[in-house]
Amino acid sequence: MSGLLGRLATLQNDRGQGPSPLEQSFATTLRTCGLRHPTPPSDTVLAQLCGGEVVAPGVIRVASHHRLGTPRGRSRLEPPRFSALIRPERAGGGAGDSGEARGGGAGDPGGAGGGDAGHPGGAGGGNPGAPARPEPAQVALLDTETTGLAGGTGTVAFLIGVGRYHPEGLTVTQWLLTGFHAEAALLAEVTAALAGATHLATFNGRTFDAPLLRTRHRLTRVPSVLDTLTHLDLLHPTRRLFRTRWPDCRLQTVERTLLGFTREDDLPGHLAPVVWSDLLRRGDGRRIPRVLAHNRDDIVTLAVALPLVDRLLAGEEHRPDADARAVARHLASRDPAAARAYLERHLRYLDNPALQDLARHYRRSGHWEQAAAIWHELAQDDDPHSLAALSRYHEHRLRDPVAALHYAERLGAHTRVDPHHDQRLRRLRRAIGAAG
Amino acid sequence: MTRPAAAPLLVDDTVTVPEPAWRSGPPAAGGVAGVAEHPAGADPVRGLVDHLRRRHADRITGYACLPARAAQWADLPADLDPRIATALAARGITRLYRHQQQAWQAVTGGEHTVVVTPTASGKSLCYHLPALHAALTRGEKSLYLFPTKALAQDQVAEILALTAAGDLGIRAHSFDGDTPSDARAAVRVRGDIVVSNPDMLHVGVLPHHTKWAQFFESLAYVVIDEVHTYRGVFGSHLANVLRRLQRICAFYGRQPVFILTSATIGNPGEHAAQLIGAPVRTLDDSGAPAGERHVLLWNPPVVNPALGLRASARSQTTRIARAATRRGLTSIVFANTRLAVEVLTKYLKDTFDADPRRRPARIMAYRGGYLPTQRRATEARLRAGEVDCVVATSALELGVDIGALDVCILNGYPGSIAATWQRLGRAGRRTRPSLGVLVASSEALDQFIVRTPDYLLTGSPEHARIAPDQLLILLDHVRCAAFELPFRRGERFGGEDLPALLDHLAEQGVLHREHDTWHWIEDSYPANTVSLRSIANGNFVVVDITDGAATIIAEVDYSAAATTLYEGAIYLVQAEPWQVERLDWEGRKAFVRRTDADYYTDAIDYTRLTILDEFTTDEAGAVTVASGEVHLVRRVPGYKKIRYYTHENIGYGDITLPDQQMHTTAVWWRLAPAALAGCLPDRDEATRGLLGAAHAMHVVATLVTMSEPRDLGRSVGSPEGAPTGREDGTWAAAPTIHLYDNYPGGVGLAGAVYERRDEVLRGARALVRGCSCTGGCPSCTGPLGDPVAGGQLTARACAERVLDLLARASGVGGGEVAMGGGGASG
Repeated sequence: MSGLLGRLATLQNDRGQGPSPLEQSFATTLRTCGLRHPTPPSDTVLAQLCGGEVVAPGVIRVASHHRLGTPRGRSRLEPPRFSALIRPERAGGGAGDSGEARGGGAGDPGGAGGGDAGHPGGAGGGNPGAPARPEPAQVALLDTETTGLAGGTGTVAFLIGVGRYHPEGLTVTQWLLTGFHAEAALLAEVTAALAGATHLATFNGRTFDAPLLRTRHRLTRVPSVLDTLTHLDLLHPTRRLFRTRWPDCRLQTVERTLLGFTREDDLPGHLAPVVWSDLLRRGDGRRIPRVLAHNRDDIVTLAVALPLVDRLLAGEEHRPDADARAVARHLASRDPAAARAYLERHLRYLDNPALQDLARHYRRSGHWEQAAAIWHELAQDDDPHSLAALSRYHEHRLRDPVAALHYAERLGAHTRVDPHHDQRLRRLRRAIGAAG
Repeated sequence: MTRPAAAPLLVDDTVTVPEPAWRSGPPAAGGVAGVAEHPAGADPVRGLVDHLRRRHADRITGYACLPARAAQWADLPADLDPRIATALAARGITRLYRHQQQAWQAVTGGEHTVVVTPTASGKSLCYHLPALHAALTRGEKSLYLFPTKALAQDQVAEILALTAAGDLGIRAHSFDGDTPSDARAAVRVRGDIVVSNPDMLHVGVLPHHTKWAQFFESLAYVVIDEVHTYRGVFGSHLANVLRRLQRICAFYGRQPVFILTSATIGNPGEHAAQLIGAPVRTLDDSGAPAGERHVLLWNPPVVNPALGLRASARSQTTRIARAATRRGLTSIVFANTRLAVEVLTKYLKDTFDADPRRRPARIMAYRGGYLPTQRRATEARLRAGEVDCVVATSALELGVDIGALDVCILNGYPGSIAATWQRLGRAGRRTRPSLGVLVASSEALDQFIVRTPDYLLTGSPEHARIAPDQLLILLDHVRCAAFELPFRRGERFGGEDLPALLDHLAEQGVLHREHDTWHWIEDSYPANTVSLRSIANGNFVVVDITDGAATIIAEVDYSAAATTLYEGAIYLVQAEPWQVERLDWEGRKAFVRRTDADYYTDAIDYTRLTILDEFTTDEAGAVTVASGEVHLVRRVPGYKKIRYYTHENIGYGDITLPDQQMHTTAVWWRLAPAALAGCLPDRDEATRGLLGAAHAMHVVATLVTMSEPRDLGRSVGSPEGAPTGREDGTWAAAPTIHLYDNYPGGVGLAGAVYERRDEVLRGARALVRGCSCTGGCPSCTGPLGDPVAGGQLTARACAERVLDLLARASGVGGGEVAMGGGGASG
């Protein structure tokens, strides 16, 4: 060990930074036992192992085709749909039909392409000229495997998978980096593969994949088309629907729960950096095909999940574990009647807050009796909001101060839900006193 | 009172102050004459000075009157954009001070420039003008770095005021940990001037430089304010952060010009050049006017001549502050610790804010650890002139705008001359006299400073030292830099063997080497694990759980937690006491409850030191001097409870906290046991002698290396770390005095002490011999506790014998007592 490194080792050890003795002896064992592969596999050998081809020095391309209708768990691969994930127009507001209408793109700066952050699909950050409802061929799916999750300039996407639709199905093309030097070539390949796309669909790509790729393009100075695409991150609508019901909203949870699909022998995503590091540092590429499979699985699952989530959010289908309130809120922003109809249709799935929402819809549309029926139901369990609503309803609507006072007094301890509680009590008591 | 016309004024035992070093250049012609125009007493500050000098002549060991100085003007540069000239005119500025104009010329000529002028000399225009001009005329950007967030916010406000005055439309934003995440993108893309701090540049900007691409692609100027604060560890880190910054700028095709400012230090140009790794032009001739300034050095009276005990600095500081406040003068009191701030605030509040019905308070405290909102409120009240006296730590030393004050009192020597003058500069108006008083504590360094007044009043200020190639620091930043951009063979980064370091990191699995390029491959974000200011990271929060609430009332630095937040500690905020009930060390939280204790607490700490490696040795008979690597374990076993006012010790408590470890460099003197026994046969005497000698050597080493007292630590023991001696009076191993670099890894101070070891010994002997005490006191041998049993030698005599032994062995002459720099007297 040179003098410089010797000095360093002493200093580091004492600062508590050095490896523990156990780690140190393990590291030494690793080094001396020759686990380091003497000759790393050539690109050609690795391409054979992965079933791909070398498209540039240091870049291997692997393609796979997935026919429409291919089953995945309880579901099947189908073309993408965007009835709820992308809103046809926003500025127009109100009673938009959500049917097949497309367009509104070019002339409509407030459209989905404008980067509407409040949109459930999280679509945005792209080309204002993009059609609001893309054809399948205009949609690209994307997922990356990286050297880490730390972010910043030191994280590299060593594997990028892109899914593109065609009339028969979906083609997933993946590009694997076998050395840092080839990154520019890889990014150029991916950029070419995004040609013709107007929309980008990812899972958690808005905060992870897209910023990361933007950084890689800047560092390699390869021009990027990412910012011209309207980005739709399926994580956000998934969170809306299931946040309150699922332990987490990771893609694998979507896959297991929504698709009913379980991967066999999946390489966990967090091991991907290790596998690539094994290839580079030890010449060990044996687990590379498993990383490719993992990445491919993620893209296919994204493709299958996308229409499912879209149908749920559009209210066309319902699942007991989906948050009906979230769907209703989404529908209500366009058409309150649709939201009410949706809640009515799924009445048996509704929890108390959702029933409250339905009662509110009834009240606002003047269906007082239906609203009161829900309040009565909930008031049996002393639900404070319903008691307050009933009190107001009896006082102002039915002009029945005695009943109104009854509910107001039952509310008693929960005065926080009714800021005017005390005044109401005084007023009602006065009214009853005057009448009596 | 008549005064000599040409030379500044000397009365009694005070010293001559020609032109102080911090204001170089020829003496201002009108200065002294200006003094004579006003009879003493007409001005309240002069009245106070005369009063103090009449009443307390015996306590004043040095006095200087620095004459008023007229402004040196220059025209606005002809090439300055006229819109900026209009904005300046709207703010009442139609011409510049000469140094501002010189800075414009140097900077726009592409020279890296450091501006060294006193507090309140209009330094900020030196960098605002080029930055605004570049933004207006070329759309170029500037990056400002300030050591604290408070300063950054001040500057943003100043730029915005200037740009609003001229409707310039310049966008200035601060970018720090408090910047909301949704505002960050806008700052990156649209900010013309981004104001940040080194830590944020290090953690939040450079590792994400691609997001800042547009900014770096048009970066013209990098402004670094108060560079004298970037010394030691912090400075060494900053030099490396700047290496990274320049590397990133080169990637985007830019070579920004650096504009630096500094308080007066001995080597501003050299220091600035070392920080940025390039030659720097130095501008140190201020053209700003200054009012007449009086400076008093104040030594509290001796209250116990036998023990050399002096009245506390606190009592003197309180007295002077009261006198100033009663005369209607506004004042600032600087204390060196947060505890001292709280205690002084309490004393002054007891006098002036005793009646709780009279609000708002006239006395305020200001220190780090208070919440930002509290601090901003205090600053605003100070600017508005609503506070009579503010008691502060160094948090107010730098340029936070608090308006002009009349009197500045330093409760204890701040530890460096630059800090002393900078703090004194917080008092002083351009046209009126001001007063600065340095009140010495019984600390030896303070005593040395007030007893040798020329050291402060005429001595050249210290040199800032950094060690950018300190191996651990350098390696930390090589990692960070590799994360930001891959390293290519042939690149330079620091003075060590870069490829060897990179290969080492590759061996560790952090980097991957491919042909001639090293790429980051680890799944981590290295900047997060590198703290620029302290080695350990993770501040503690102080949570008030009184009345069942859980309110955060303060934050405490990791390094201070063990000595301030132990269970049972009294923690003070604005002089209000809280008691620590529970300390969650892992969770970095201290839970405190309001109390009305009449005491405060002070932690006791012990250090154990083990020598790991000897670099250099100088063996001379009975004494071996060596420098090398050491391992320190610091333990805080207990604390003392001290009653207010009487300062009597009213109890002890135990502390159970994990040991804190540090690895650093040290220099040590190892004595042959037989030789020590030869001059001090008694074990107690020998121990006291070693401790006393070590104390004096520590004090002098601090001065010789021009560092601050806390930069060095000392420890007395045997090399193995065993107790000093055995019960039977023999030594388990050779008794040793260690002085260590008080930073993990060291920043080169121990080496400097080793090189100047003879000077250290000579000075230590002078300090002990020249002391006015009889048997040893805190000012020479340090506090040595228990009284001496009958027949035993005094601590001072013991220390003298040890120092004589060391000096004889090292061949250091015993006769002369002169020190480098000042010359000891007293």
